[in-house]
Amino acid sequence: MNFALANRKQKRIISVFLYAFALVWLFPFYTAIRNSLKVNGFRNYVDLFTSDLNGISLMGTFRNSALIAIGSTFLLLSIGALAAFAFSKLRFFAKEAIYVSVLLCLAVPGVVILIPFYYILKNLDLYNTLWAVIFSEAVLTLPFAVLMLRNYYDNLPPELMESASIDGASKLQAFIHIYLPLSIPALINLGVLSIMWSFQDFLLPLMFLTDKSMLTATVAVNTLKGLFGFSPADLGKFNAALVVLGMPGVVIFTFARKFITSGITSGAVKD
Amino acid sequence: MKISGREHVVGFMFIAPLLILFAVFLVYGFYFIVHASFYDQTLSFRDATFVGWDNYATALSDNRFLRSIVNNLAYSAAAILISLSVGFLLSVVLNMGIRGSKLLGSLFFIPSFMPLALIAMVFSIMLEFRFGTLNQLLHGIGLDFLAQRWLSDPTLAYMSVISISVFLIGLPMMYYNADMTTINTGILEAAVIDGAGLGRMLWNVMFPLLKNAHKTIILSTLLGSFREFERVFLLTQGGPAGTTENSSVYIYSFARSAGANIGYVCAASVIVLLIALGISVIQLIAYRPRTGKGGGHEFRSRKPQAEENH
Amino acid sequence: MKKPVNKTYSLLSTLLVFAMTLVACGTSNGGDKPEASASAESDKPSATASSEETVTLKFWTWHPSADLYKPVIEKFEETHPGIKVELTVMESKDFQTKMPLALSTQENLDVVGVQTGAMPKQIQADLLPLEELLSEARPDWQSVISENSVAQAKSQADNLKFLPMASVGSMVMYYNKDILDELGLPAPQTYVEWKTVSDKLHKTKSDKLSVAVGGKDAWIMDELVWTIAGQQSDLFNQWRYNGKKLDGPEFTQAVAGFQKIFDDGIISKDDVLDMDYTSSRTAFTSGQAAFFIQGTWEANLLLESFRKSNQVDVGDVGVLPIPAIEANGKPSIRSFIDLGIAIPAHSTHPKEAMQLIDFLVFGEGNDMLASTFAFSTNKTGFAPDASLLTTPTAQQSYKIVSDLLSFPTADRNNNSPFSDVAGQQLQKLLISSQTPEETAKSIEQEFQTGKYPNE
Repeated sequence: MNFALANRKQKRIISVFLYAFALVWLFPFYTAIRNSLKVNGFRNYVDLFTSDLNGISLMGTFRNSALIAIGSTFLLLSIGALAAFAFSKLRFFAKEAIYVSVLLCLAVPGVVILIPFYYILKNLDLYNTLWAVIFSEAVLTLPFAVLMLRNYYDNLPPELMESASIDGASKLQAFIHIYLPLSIPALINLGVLSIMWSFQDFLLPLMFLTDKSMLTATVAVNTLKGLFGFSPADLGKFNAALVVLGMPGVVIFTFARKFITSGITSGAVKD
Repeated sequence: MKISGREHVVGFMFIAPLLILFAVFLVYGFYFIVHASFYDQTLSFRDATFVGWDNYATALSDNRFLRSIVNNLAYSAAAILISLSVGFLLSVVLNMGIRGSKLLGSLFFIPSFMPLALIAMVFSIMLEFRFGTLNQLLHGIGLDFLAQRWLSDPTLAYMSVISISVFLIGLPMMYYNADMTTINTGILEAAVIDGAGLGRMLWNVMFPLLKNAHKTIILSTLLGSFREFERVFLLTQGGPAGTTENSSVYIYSFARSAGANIGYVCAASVIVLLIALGISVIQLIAYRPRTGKGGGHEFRSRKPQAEENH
Repeated sequence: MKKPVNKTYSLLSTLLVFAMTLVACGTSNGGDKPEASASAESDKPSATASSEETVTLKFWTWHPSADLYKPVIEKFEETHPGIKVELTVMESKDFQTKMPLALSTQENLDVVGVQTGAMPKQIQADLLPLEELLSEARPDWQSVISENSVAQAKSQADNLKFLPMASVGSMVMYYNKDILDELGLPAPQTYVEWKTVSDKLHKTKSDKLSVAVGGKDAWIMDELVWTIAGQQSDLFNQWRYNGKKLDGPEFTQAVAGFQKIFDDGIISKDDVLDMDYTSSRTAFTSGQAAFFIQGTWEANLLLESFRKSNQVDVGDVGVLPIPAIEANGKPSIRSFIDLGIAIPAHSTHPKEAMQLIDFLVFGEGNDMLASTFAFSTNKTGFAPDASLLTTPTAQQSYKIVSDLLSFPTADRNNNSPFSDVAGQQLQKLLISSQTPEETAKSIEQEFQTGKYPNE
């Protein structure tokens, strides 16, 4: 979309400012890349993958991150869609009260709930398994999922429901055969968002996964900092690790930007 | 119309997985911290002593704790200001057909896709006084007077924490971009024909038109404010001298230290939780009157802006 | 009309079960992939045969670094066939958080490091009493380790719950001899000489920093102030064991001395307050700083071989105590046993675990680590291989460190949770107009709130 707000001269001035701003913007990226080439140059990257990182495998951290993201996203989508559909299209006791209570949990801070989660996970024997993070992430993201998906279902006509019940289909069949397929775009958006958030998550994997074979990519950055002996040789490697651990996410999510944008903003604008 | 018993059952079947998960984790979790907050005990959960309201009294009389809560709100206020100014201007400007807009747009979004933990670490390396790349650059181009103690001067340390909000401008831009697609370009053309200058166009025409986006940004930032953690923890560690500490870093510092009184951590957690829930309530109320039917579900806020911090 | 409900129910449960299995697969994949749990032994080609009889010990600690441990563990596995060691070395703060958590969740650990100070009391219920196992493994153990170190270990927990691998002290000052030579100045014995070095560095407009110290890490500031207090008296012990208050003149004087180092420009506030432990160390090891203030556990910097293999950009490194600030002060350090090592109560291989502990505390492993100068051992009669100390500076420095450790002014029996908080007040002193008196008062006040464990 193009807004014809400015004349050509103004545009030129604006673009100068815009590019200057972009230059400042690039500075942190420049910092990361420059530091990653310190001391031993590109060998830092090679060493990162070939030498022993105190038993940590970078590929392993990505795998853990991916498994957690898939697991929590799956829980989120299945539980969230069922609940959102019920809140939108079904009638039952205390529906709105329950819905509002769920929404209240939108603001629950992770740190606050850390100790009880730790206690619960410990008693469920889930501590130090990928499950621990999968469940905690799903619980903390569910209020958003319910909110977003309910908005989506609310915008689908209730007549579909009625026609389904005339055909003798149960509520569940109506959900599975009619509403679920219709909500696939929303589910995709939410899924991409959830995967991104899971990759970005730091605190939960930091606290609930103490074994180094369970490290996630985001936490590995912090752990590597502590593990290296911090001689000059290690410094370059550490900075290279920052770049390596950040890159895949950037590439993937840049390609998925469309979904992230519509996920975050869907329903934010009046139709 | 009366709801039949079967409808109730079916409805609850649908929300059962959600309810079970919430009961196990959140409801029990809330009960747990409230209960624990009245005891003096360590993380091993042995030998708890009942201490009544002591932990709450200690927390509320700790200036460091109170300041950490104020800091949360200050960071949110700053993030809102930045979103509504820088975010708004960038979004509009990038839609004016300037060459390279698309590429620049992608560039501005990239940091929002990255883990905040990484960003905070890179910033902390970049902003070091002596060996940070920023000051080295400033010295290199002769602007020595600009090379400051970005992380160890209390005021500048605040600015440094806040500067990450500028780097994360991609999130508010998403809201603005979405809202702009609904603008009727006819209004803009009419205004241009009426002779409105660029400044007036931006401030008097565009800004009010995007009020839905403003509102969403404000509310989602507030909702996320108590979830913030990595930004402070990995950039300044709450320093210098605890000035930039926010509530999450404060609580975490007690939760992690050896032999700490977990009851105290829980009391502080309960206080923070109540404030966070309070913000949620305000939000729900703020949206309620606008909804025509169906209760609070038109509440349009998206995921809190700082969601990645949970 | 029950049918739909049943269907609903069955679908819901199928969904849930499906979700769970999916995630379960994910978890089990994550758990036992071999490369993920790679450890020191995985580099050895011979590590494949007879895996049924092999016992694998899970060992978590925080110091020394994994590089230093690697040859030690290899040696242990060589001399103890049938036992493998899976070592995890964590950053110290990380370790303080995670190890106690792991113990209380009954994670399958066999040997754990124990930091002295607040940690032993916190975790002792999860540790095995050692005496019996120990007298089985090495009946004469008491004759090969210093009596004092055993007494200190026993004072930290009920019964003997851990054995100390070494004693360490803090803070000392490492110096870059290349820089001092360039300036034509000797290693500073007195405060005035110390100041001369930093003044000359400023005058020559050198781009080198005079002192690198992790001012961003509050605990380091706390250690520094206690080292200064130790130049006058054993105030730390009186505070820690006898309940002496910190708002008195002694501690205030130490805080004032601390402030003076910064006011005189020897340590530059601007430069160090945003440096953490690692960046201060990096500044020194990359040759950017004349001095580096840290504990004796960094003494492996004295070894040329260590510097070479880690690309440390300094030709010669020496150690000195921090010069006395007051005219009547005596340069000294606080020291205490540290690098404790223990067996979790849930360990399934306590016997094998004891063999590793024996190796690391009394055996060859201890000698190997002590020869890296990462700590000074409590073993009686250990002398490091003198040929490792290649320069006169290194030889002198080694003697200085040994003497300092033998005659500390106070115990380095830190109250680590409080250390972080007291350090914040010291940072505040540096960046605000708070006076040393006010600082000492607010530290004492904070201690009185009872938020911190005090045992």
